[in-house]
Amino acid sequence: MWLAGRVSHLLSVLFGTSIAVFAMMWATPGDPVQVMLADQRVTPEQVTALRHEMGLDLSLPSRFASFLWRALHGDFGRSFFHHRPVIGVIAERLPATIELTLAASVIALLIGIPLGLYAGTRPGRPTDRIASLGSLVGVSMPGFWLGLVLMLIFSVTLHLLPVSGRMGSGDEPPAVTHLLLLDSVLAGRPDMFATALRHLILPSVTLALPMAAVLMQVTRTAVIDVMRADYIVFAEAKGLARRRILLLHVLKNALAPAVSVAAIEIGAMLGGNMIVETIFSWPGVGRLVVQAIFDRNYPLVQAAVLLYAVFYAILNFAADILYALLNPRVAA
Amino acid sequence: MSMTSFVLRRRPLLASLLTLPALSRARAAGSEIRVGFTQDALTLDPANPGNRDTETIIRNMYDGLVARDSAMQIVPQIAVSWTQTDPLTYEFPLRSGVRFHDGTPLTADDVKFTIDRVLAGKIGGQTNPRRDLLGPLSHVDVTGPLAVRFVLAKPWPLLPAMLPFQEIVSKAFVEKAGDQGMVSQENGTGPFKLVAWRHGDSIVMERFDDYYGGDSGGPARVDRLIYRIMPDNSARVAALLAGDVDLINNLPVTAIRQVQANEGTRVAAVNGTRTFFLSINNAKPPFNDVRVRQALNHAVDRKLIIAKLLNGLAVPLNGVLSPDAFGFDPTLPDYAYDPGQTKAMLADAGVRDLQLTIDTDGSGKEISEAIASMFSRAGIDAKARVWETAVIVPIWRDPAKRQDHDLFYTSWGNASLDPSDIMMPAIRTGGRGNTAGYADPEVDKLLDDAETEVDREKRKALYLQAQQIINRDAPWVFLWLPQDIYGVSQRLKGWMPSPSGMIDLSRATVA
Repeated sequence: MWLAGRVSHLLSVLFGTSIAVFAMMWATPGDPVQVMLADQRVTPEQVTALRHEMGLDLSLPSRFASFLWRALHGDFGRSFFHHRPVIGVIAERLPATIELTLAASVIALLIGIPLGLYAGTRPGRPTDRIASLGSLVGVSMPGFWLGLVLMLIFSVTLHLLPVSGRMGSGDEPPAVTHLLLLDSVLAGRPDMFATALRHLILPSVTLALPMAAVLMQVTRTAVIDVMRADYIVFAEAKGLARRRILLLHVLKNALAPAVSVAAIEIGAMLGGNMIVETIFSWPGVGRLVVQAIFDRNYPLVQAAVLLYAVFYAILNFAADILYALLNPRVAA
Repeated sequence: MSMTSFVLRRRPLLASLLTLPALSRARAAGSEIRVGFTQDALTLDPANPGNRDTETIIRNMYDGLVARDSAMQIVPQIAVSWTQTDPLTYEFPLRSGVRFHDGTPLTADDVKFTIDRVLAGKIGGQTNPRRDLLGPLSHVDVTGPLAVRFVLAKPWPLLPAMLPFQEIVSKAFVEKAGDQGMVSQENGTGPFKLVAWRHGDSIVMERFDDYYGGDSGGPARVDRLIYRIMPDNSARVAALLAGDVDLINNLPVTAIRQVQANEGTRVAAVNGTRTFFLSINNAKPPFNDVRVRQALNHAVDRKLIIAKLLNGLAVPLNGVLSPDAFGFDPTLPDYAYDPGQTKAMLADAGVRDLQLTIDTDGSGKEISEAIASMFSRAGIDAKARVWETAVIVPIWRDPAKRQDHDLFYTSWGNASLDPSDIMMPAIRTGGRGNTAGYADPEVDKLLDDAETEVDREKRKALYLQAQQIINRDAPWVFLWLPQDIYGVSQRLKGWMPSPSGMIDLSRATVA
């Protein structure tokens, strides 16, 4: 029953998102046919024929109806520019984004939460101030700047890490999951694992630092709140070990808001980060979708936005479950 | 190796990551050329690449009947030569011993099939704009196992200039793979064959050992060729400087000094084929007065912009054509920079307090602003307005939508370097790229006559005449033809940039 409610909620979100995207495209001027043809030699008849094949000569309601009908049958149309179904075009780029998101999330969680806990238990002290200042810098730092600086230091100057790409010019492991780290492990190729990892470091750190900063702040605030709660004062009075109090009582209760924030941040990262992907030539969906928006590649944008909605729904669902585990009162 | 042993070995592995600083620059065994390239291919199907960058990638794997060398001369590839036997007929004897990457020999049937596929006008159910690159070509006859005849419906002297855009596919392979399969599979006759297409990341190719060798003989000199997709300018430059790649396209003007100063790299530039201009809305008063349009031409200091904003890497133009194009007129009168003359001409035309807006997309912002400030010096109240490409281009291509617009900073490519290819769309009345709305019956007639004139000298004379009229009528503010700029590693030998934008690495080596 609860699951059915969830699914129907998701479907209505998807439907609403589709309408919103169609409306926005309708309101945005621009013509994919002129973008596609640029200055190629073509006749007016060819232009008309292309408009017809791309469904651009239909009214907006009929375009929407035809989109919905085909989407219900699992057909999201063909990319105007790639000459193949949009689902395939997005699927080609999704693994890179997922791998980067996973790596960045792990880094952000490993930095943000311990730092937040540390700073929150020492509010106002110099260590807290330094951590808070660092987090403020992390939140305010533009991604393109951070990425370029890291690249200049670690790649161009020190030659420690590669400039860009997922595997550089090296061979890739046989594709199983399309996540290169995992596939290298499955293929038993530590050399490939190392290459993939080295390529992953700079983009994932660039993506992770701002998220870590947000997580740190959220955790810190929550920790400060929890530390003031009666049961913590009581636990301290009871003489429980500080370490035990922090891990069992403080962290568990302070984690709930961090989980919600992390879900939103990870959802955003799964949409692909156009800036980080561009700087590090990372072949993810962000670059693809932004280009599709500029090109007015409607089918691709439409499918990508639906995918984003699904990601958010799944992540929120996961966050709700985690929330319930952390705080049984929510589930009740 | 099993999972456990892998996990056991992980720690030393991680430690080694930081102690092997040169790993990212280490070369795989065998020679390899790496190209840092702005865009991924949209498709691998040569029948409809969709843009020039895609064709550049495809051209490493597919050869044509003919190609253009770095001096833009048309040179034979699969064809041994060509002869025009009458105004409607071209004979192409084919080279023997040419093989596709799957090992099958190329025959005349493959050539006919390739051209028929484009002539059909649709690929995978979608209209193929490339059909128009074949003009009035009627059909191809197979006249022998290694000979084809191209038959035109009406005389079309452009055929040889347009044929480098057609790459030959295998009939049997296409019939098996289908149009959809051709998007991601490859079976050409070119110097390199596809190993892997990692979408958005790289295209990996290896030498085709049975390559017949184009016009200079033998297979490619290197074992592997990799196109790495790097859309960001700074990232591409960084990769070149770090030695990660050997060649990058679209070197930004701002990085030229850095690449020149760096010990292991150099800059290579070649005239492009794209003409830049300010389209003037010829229908809108006061721009319908030729004196006003000429006055605008005198207000722009093209040489200064080229020197300051384009690092000197562009040729100023007084007309439509590249100096490298067939029929280019070097005697066109120069619109010398002279704001005083602009003021005088505007006064003569009775125009006072002229206000205008230059439309541009993001890439032309800086230059349009520079031009606007030059207009201001000539007493014109000018400003630049930045638009999204997908918005502003359709506006200017539609006479009704552009009626309130003044000037448009834009360009038109002429990859064939034949005047027809740029003048028919961008200058002839009603042409798709005639954003100025220029309409001159005399020019139209000259262009139409040149379309079918088979005598080279007579054809050239028609274009010379047309260029003089266009120069006088000034439908545009004539600007310049930028050079294509590449960053090149000193290790890379045997490669020259070509105005065609194709990157032929079949003779190149790396030290």
